[in-house]
Amino acid sequence: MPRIPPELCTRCKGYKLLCGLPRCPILDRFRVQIQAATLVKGNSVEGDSPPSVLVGEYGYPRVRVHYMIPPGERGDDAAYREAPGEWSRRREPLSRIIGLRSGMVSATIRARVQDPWRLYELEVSLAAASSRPVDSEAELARPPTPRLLFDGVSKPIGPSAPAVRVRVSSNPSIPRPVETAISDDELASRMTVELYRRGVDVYTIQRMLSLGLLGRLRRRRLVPTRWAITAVDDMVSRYLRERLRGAREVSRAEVYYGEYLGNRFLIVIKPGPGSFEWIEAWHPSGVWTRGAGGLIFWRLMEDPRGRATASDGGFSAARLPVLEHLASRGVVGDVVIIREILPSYYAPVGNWHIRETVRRALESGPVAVDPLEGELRDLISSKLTVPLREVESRSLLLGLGRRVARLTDFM
Amino acid sequence: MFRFRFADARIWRYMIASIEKILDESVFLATSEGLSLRALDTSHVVMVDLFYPRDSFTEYEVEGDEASFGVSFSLLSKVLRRARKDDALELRVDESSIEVSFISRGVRRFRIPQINLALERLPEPRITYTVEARLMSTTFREAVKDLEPIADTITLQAVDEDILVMRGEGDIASGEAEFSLSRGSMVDYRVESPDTSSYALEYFSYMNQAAQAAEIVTVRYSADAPVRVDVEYQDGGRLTFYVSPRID
Repeated sequence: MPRIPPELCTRCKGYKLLCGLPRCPILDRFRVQIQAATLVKGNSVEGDSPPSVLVGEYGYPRVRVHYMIPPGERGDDAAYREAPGEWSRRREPLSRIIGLRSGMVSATIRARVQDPWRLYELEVSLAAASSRPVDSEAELARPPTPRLLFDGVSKPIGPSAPAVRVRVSSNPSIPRPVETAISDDELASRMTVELYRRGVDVYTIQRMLSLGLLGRLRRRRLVPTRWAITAVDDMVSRYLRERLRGAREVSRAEVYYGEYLGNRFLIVIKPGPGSFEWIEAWHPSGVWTRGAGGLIFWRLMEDPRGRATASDGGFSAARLPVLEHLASRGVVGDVVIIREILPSYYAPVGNWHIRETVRRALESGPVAVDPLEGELRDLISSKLTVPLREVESRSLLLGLGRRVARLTDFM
Repeated sequence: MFRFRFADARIWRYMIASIEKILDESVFLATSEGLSLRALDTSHVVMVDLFYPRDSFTEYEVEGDEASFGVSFSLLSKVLRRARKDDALELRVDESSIEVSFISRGVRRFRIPQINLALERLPEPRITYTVEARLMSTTFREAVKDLEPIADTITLQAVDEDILVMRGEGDIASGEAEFSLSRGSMVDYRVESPDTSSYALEYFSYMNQAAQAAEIVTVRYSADAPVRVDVEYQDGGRLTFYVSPRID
C-alpha cells in the first residue's frame, strides 16, 4: 500500500498540507495522544475498557494484543469509544472517531497465537466478550509515549506501552449465549452462526473469535483482528445465503443510497439468483491514493453460491447487511454495490463504517423502485461523482451496456 | 429400481467434480437408452448436459420405462473423490437412497440420500454454430490453464480457416492461445464465418476437471451466442456444457 513519503511530511509539519488531505492525519492523532498520555499518572492506567481489544497481525504467530483503557473514564462514556453502530447512527465525523480511539491507552501484551489460554487466565479474553465496560488496570513498563506511525494502515490506536501486568477488576457481564459458546467444544464456524442467530452482534463475535474464545477447545487460536472481522462476515453471510436458497426473487429493481465518512454507497437490488458485484472507485488524494493521477477502480463478483473472484474485506462488510436485508424479506436478488471513496475519507478507521452505512442505506428505504434504464443512469450520475461511463463500462450486472446473457434467452 | 456398473470409476469422479462446481443438485434420468442429466445453474448462464449410452456400461438395469433420482453433487463428489485407479463403479438406486460402490479386489460401499426434486425436461438450446473445433483434451486444458491466472474473460476468435484464437483478458493483463489445424493443434476445424464471442473464464476452469479423463473436446460457437463444449469420453459418453456469452 502506498505510504506518505515521510520527506513530504517532515517539510510540511502538518500545516502546509502538502499531502493534499484536508487535515493532517498525523497531527490529528498526535493531539489526542498527548491528551490521553497526560492523563496517565506514573506507569499505570486505570479505567473502564469499553471493552476494546485488538490482536495485531505483525509478527504472526507471535502477536501483540492491545488491551485499551481510557484513563479515568467510566461507564457509558467509556463504552462509546467502541460503538460503531452508534457512531454511524449519530454520524460522528472522522475527527471525532479518531479522538475517541486515540483517547485510550493501549497496554500491549505479547502472545503466541497457539496459546489463547494465557490471556484467558488474565481475564482479558472474558473482558473482551463483555457486553458492558469492564473496570481495568494496567501497569506499564514505561509511560506511554505518543508514537507516530507513518503507515496509515493501523486503526487509530492510542499511545501504547508494553504491559507489565493487566488486571480486570470488575466482573465482565457475559450474556448467556456467549458464555455457552465459550465453553462449547464446537467448530468456530458453527458457533459463529449460533451466536448470530441468538442475536449477539457481529462486533462481539469478532472479538470472541479474535481472542480464541470460539472453536474446538484444543485447537483454539488468537486470530488477528483484521482476519477475524472478515471471517465473521463471511461465515454469517454463508449462513444467510444458505437460508435464502430457493427463496423467490425480488419482483423489481430497487436502488438504495447512503453516505458517511466520505464514502458513498449506491446499492441496486434487482431480480436475479443472488450474484453480487462490487465496484470501488477511489478518488485521487485519498488515504491510499496520494500519488494517483485519476480514479482508481477495483471490481469483484460473487456468484449465487458465494464464490467470489477475489476476497476483499470491504466487500464482505458490505455484503453482510445486504444479505440480512434480503433474509428479513425472504427474497433473493442480484446485487450491485458501487462504493465511491472521496478524499475527505482521510484516515482509515476500519471497515465497520462500510457495514453500518450500507445497513443504514437499506433501512432508510429505496431512493428508486423499478427505474427505467435512463432513470438508473440519471441516478448514478446524480448520486455519484464517478463518470457514468466508467461505471457502465465495468459493470456486468447493472445491465447498462455490458451484461451476461442468459441461456434461457436461447431456448 | 436402477443399477449400473461402470469400468472406470475415475471418469465419474472427474465428471462429477466438474458438475459440482456448477450445480448444487439435480435429477438424473435413466431410460433403456442410457443415463442422462440436463440442468441449468442458478444464474441461468450455464447448462450441463450429460449423456451416457447404455452400451458404455458393463451392466445396466432399469426397472420399468425410466427411473429418475435427485442427487446432491457436493455429497456425491465427496464420495467419488475416493475413486482410485482400477476401481470399477457401481451405483444402486432404490426408493430413497443411492449406494455407491468401488469394486477392485475389495469393495468399498457408501450410501447417500436421494434429494427430493422434480425432473425438469429442459429443451436443448437452439443455436446455429458457425465455428466448430475439435481439439485434443490436453490442448484445451493447457490453454485454459495458461489463461486462468491472468484473465477472467475468454474470447474465442476464428481468425481464418486454419487458426482459432482463445484470448484471455483480465483487468491488467491479457494473453492468448492459438490453435492451428495445419500444425496439428486441432483435430478438426470448420468455419462458416470468422466469428468472435466472449465468455466468463471461470466456467472453462470448471470444465477442465471433466476434460481430464477425456480424449477429445469439441468447441462450437457463433457470434454473441452460447458456446457449446462437448467433453467426449472414449466409451461413448459425453458431457456437454453450454455457456452464455458476455455482451459488451
